Amino acid sequence: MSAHHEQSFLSKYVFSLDHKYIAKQYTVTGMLFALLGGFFAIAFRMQLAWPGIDIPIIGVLDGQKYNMLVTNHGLIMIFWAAMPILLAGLGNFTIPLMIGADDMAFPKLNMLSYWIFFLSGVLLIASFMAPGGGAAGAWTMYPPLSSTQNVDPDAGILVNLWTGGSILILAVALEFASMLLGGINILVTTINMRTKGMKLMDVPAVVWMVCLATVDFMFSVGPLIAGAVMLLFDRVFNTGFYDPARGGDPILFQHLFWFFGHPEVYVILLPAIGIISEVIPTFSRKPLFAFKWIVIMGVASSLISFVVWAHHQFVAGIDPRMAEFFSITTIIISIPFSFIIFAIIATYFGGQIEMKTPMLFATGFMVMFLVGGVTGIFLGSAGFDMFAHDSYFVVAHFHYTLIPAVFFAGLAGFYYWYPKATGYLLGDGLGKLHFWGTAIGFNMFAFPLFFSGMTGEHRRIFDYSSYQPMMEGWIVQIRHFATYGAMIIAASQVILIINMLISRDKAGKNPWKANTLEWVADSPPPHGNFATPPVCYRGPYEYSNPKRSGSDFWPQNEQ
Amino acid sequence: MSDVALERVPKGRLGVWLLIAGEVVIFGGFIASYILARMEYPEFGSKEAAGALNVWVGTLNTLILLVSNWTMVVAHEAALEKNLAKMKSYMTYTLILGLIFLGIKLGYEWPTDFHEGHTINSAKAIAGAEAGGEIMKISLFWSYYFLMTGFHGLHIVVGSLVIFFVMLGCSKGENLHRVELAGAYWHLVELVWVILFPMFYLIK
Amino acid sequence: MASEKDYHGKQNYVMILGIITVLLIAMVGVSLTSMGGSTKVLTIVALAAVQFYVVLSELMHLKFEPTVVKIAAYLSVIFIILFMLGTAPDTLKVDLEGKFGNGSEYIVKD
Repeated sequence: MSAHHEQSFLSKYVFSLDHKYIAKQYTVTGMLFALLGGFFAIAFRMQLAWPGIDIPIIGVLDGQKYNMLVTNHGLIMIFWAAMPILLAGLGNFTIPLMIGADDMAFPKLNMLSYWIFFLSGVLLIASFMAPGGGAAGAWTMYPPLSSTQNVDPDAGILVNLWTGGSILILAVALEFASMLLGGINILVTTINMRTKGMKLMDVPAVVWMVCLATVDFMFSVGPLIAGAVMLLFDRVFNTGFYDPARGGDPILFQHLFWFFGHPEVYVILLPAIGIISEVIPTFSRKPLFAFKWIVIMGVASSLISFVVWAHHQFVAGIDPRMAEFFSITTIIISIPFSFIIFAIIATYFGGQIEMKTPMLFATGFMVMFLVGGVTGIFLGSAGFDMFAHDSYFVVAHFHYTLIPAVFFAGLAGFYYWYPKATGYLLGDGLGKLHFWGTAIGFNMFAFPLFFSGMTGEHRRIFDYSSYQPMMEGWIVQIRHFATYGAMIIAASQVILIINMLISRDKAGKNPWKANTLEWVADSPPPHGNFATPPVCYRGPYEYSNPKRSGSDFWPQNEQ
Repeated sequence: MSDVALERVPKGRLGVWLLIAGEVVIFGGFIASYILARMEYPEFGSKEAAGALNVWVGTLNTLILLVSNWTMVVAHEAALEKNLAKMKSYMTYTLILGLIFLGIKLGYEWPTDFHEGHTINSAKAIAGAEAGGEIMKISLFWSYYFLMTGFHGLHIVVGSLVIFFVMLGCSKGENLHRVELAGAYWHLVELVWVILFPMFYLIK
Repeated sequence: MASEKDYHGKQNYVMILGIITVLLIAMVGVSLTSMGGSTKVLTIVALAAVQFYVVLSELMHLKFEPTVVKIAAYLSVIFIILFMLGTAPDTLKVDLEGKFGNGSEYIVKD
């Protein structure tokens, strides 16, 4: 891998084969889409707080536009923000560096994967411009709404193809293809390209978790691809796969969707757990507690995640015996995750805690994810779920898991590895301000929703004005309060942008005095990462080891 | 210091196996949906549905695909022995057999079905058919049939292109490991057909 | 490291082709007999499963591959079966009235 040959602008900045650059492409694209998804959320939250308000750029919402915003907010945040940042961006940047490799196993495939992803994003935006507007059937795309919205059975194939719902299916399919190819790259790299001396348990937790997330994704996405193709055919070729009048079954789509949908949330969660498993030991100067068991529990939860999916369908009319089965498995899956959380909490005990920004975000994740995780156990019980399903209780639950994962853990990772990726340190003061703004805003938004949800506030309603029980004073106040919280989250992200623009402190190779191999390379690492491939002598969490005198950390590559 | 827990596999081969595993789950989604529908609707086995498929043509096609997989594996063994001439001829036989398979399917089977009035959404042509009735269920069968054999055919096209371009790239004896990878993808296409053939043609 | 030298020259491909062809003929043969409904279906399914295994293990050399590849291959099949098991009770419209005493008698049947 020559670092000296002349590269054209295109091959250096657009079609780069370097994993670090591709990781940055994924991360920046993901963050931009997160801004778009966030804008949609502010828009519909404004509508909820002040029905009929004129929203900047979008205008006054009607039911259809509201549904479009809600639908695309969910889709964008999951497929075009969380996955590129936490799976593709994180995996591509950290894995080769942490295992001492010079790049990913298939650099050209890596580059192709990014551009397929980019194309999927273009298609998503295109879906908003089709006649009838973007898809508006909720991110779960259930038929018959999603198979008939804006579809004219007597019109031609092309007319039905150029509709929001159809283009969206194509966009999602391309995104899946990109992540599948990227996933193959991640797994082959980790299995094959570990440097000399690096045994499996010397591989850092974040690499393990990204690999487990990849396995989860690759084995669960198949049925949804099949289901989405059949949905597209229902729209474009007027088939009846999901139409009961034609012998089809809408519940089939639900199963195909959620067989993927549930492992998907762990695809987002596991890398987040991986990130904080790196950050917390480094800033506690203590080994990750029970690392081997954290990995074993991670594997267990990945496997169990394949048999819990129908807890999303408790009220869809599924067989009650299956509801019983899925309740049990859903509550069981809380066990490995609880173990992991307890082990990470144990990592803090007796440590030399340094509350730098990455550590603050990681600690924030721990506190807030607990709320999300515990409320998940409530919802996992079919009896309770029958009451809470489709209410804001569910919305609060999943935001208490997804936002800690994507924002808090994701930002912890961003602040942690930014010095390695760019050579510059992000300001700690601004970082902490960013944290508090995000944390306060988030809890203002999400916590009250548990209560309005328990009162019966239904999801996906664009205007409650005609429903008197939902217009009581305190419920309306909650809606306002939550909207202000959402706005504070959005405003706080500006602090990060300012921080990135003004930060000029150079970071050395190892500003956090961490053990893992990526800190051996220069900041930022050149092509090929390491001047000579490092050799691995021990595990990644040897902090404050009494055998190592004079230093509270023991890098993996030092004898 | 060696790692016995995870033996390393040549990366191209490992990558293709992971791709195969992913594709099995994708086709598995289609197959599972069809099997569930089939178990619910015995009408799928009636004369106008699966009964209208020609078992003999289907068997012939299956045989052709089987032999093409054999020629591909022979080509791979030839590549391992660096026998370029034998490798190229057997890869060509594979392509020809794949083309014949597609030809029979798209040139005879599908047109015959269209001619008999079965298309991907036949019920559209049958106005006034009873909702949830037998005609609708038969139409659902044909929807599944064309969808799945169509996607399988698409994979034959893609697999053939892969074999063709690998053959071009290996003609001077370089990158011979790619022959195995192209072969693996071709075998995946066979694996899927091994399930599709009895599912549609034999289980009535 | 595992490599293609592990299986080069070790397989008799003509015999493998022969076995798969015999299985095919057997499957077609069984489908033409007048066996009882479910026995016929199960026999054909079993023959197809054996054919699937032979192609996977012998032709694609899975039996020579290390554990990680075997796990990936078999896991993909297991997950599909898992999916079918979880979905079947809903799509097969099983008659629930009065069975298993779990409240199914309160389900309104159309």
